[in-house]
Amino acid sequence: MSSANQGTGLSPGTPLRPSGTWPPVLLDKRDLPLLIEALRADYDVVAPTYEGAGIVLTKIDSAGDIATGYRDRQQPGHYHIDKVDDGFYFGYNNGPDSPKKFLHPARLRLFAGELHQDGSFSLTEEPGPPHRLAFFGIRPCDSFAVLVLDKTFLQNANVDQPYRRRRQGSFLAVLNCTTPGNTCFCASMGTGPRAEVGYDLRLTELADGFLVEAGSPEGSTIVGQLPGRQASKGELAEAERLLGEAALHMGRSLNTHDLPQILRSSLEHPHWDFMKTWCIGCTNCTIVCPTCFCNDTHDNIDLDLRSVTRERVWDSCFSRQFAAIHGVNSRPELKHRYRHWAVHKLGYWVEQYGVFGCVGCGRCLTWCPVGIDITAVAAAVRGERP
Amino acid sequence: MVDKAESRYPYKALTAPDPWLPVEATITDVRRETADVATYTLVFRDPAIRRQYAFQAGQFNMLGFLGIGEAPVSISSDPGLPTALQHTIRAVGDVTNAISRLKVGDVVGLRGPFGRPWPMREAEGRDLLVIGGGIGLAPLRAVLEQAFGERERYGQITILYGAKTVQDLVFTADFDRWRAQPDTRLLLTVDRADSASWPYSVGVVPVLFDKVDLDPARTVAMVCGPEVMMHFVAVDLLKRGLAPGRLFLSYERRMRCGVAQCGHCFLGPKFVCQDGPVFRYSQLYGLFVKGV
Repeated sequence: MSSANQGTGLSPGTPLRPSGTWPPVLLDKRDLPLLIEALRADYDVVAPTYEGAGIVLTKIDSAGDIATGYRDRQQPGHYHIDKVDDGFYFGYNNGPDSPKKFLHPARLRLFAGELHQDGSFSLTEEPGPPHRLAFFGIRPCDSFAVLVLDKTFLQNANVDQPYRRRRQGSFLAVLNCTTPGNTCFCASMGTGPRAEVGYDLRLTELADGFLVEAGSPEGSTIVGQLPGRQASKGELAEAERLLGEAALHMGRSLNTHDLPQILRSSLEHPHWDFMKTWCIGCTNCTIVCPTCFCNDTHDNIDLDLRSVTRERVWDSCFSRQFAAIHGVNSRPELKHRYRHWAVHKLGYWVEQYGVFGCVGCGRCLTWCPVGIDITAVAAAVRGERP
Repeated sequence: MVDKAESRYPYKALTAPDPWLPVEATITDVRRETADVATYTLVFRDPAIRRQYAFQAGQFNMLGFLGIGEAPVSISSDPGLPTALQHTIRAVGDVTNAISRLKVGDVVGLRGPFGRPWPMREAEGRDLLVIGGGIGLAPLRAVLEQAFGERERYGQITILYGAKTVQDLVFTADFDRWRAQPDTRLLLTVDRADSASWPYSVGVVPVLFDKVDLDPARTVAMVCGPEVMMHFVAVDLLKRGLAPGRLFLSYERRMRCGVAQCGHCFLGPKFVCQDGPVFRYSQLYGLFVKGV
């Protein structure tokens, strides 16, 4: 397993590596509600649920809301899910949502303002969420993506306060991934299938229960409230085997060796020209990407011309006006916009933050209506075919 | 590939602890420059902000209105006088058109300052070559006012300034004062001279290079103007022997946040708002590609 994203000095100041060692515990599957209730005592819990025709992340009221017993099939441009109830709770992969939906919401009020007669104004900052957030059942690619978002919004001389209000004190209960899908390549990006950094709890689903490991004092406090017993050597070995298998059965792979340098020196590679015949500029990839952070601001003013709100909404570098000044976009053609996005994810990001902007979650493949595969694009530009 | 020393500039907004929150600034003076450009003098309403606010030549503020939005505008006044900030603004979009309707006493929202400044300390002891195109002279006026205030720190100061027409020249009210500074030259050119009485050059800015003798070994060049103008100027200066490490360009991009969090201003991997807007030419190698 390559480790593209490891050893890159993530998040100085935040305890990322487990800050202690706690014995792994085996939790009976029927006791999962106890874990959720323990979290709900201190947090609003966000977990994968089934809605419409797929898995989404929502705030849940009880363990019963969590999607269990589903299996999905994902391919570039394709998502299909079935209820199978084969005894395996979390046999499905990521849906389109990631923690970004809650930490960097698609629409967020930055402030409300009152304009006074003399032109002066007063502002009220957005208050942030009422309770701390706990994410249950997100995959290692997504918990890593949170650490990547932290770099943009927190590890900056100008801390983004709306993001900080949501992220600070949040809890990550990560589900190690034993069922990677056809569009997954976290092993290539060094973010999975096992969570190594940034988690409070990590779980591995075995046939008879969940192996639960704490990665922080907060996580250990939660484990202390559960009826689990110490995991046996055999159970630990079984988890190792499943995660080893998962790493070997990624649907995709991406050669990250020297990739930022290769992309930076291949900005005029003919493959970018070819991409304009394929990409339709729909912005789906940037919406589902767990690390894409670009945003725009909109002002809304009431009919009284006094009350104003300024909102921050997700934006996409694929939009025609995204980089326009005086009506002229500095990336005028779709091939420029596709290239900017792909090279940002796999190249520029490393220059900017010391990590890739891609965690290998595969969403941009699955949710691309024309099935563009970023691993194939990278391979083509570096002169390899996957 | 990454110039560590020049990666992210740790500048913090001084107007509010939350960099998204604008503060109120009152217009105390409006000076018309051209038909659609004016220079606005702003004073913070809050005395505490007036005391703590400071900026460096080349930095910008986000200016705007509740209900309309914001635009990045470089600061055109002397950094030594941060309590009377000046912005020189052309009415081109929603925000700048709204600003163009303001009178003395009106209030704007302001956040800042943001961005990497011109290398004033690095330029000490050297000749300054200041090259502006059109309204691109605005952030360079901050350089000039600072340099004139500490004149002994710099060698010769040469200002090369071009605009489309005579009517498009900004800061004409300052020209005589600038020319009167010791060891300072101001050379003007316009793309089209509409009257025979124009006594200076005609043509794009590089036509002025033959009229000055530069000592590339002693010179630091600071350039701001339309991108195509800056690139022609850069090529010419490098041909004349200026080291790429002593050539600085200031870029313009769409911006929403000013703090490297909205993504609009990317120039390849650079956040123009925080890694720039002033870039050392050698930082931009590999990025002179269409559509990066």
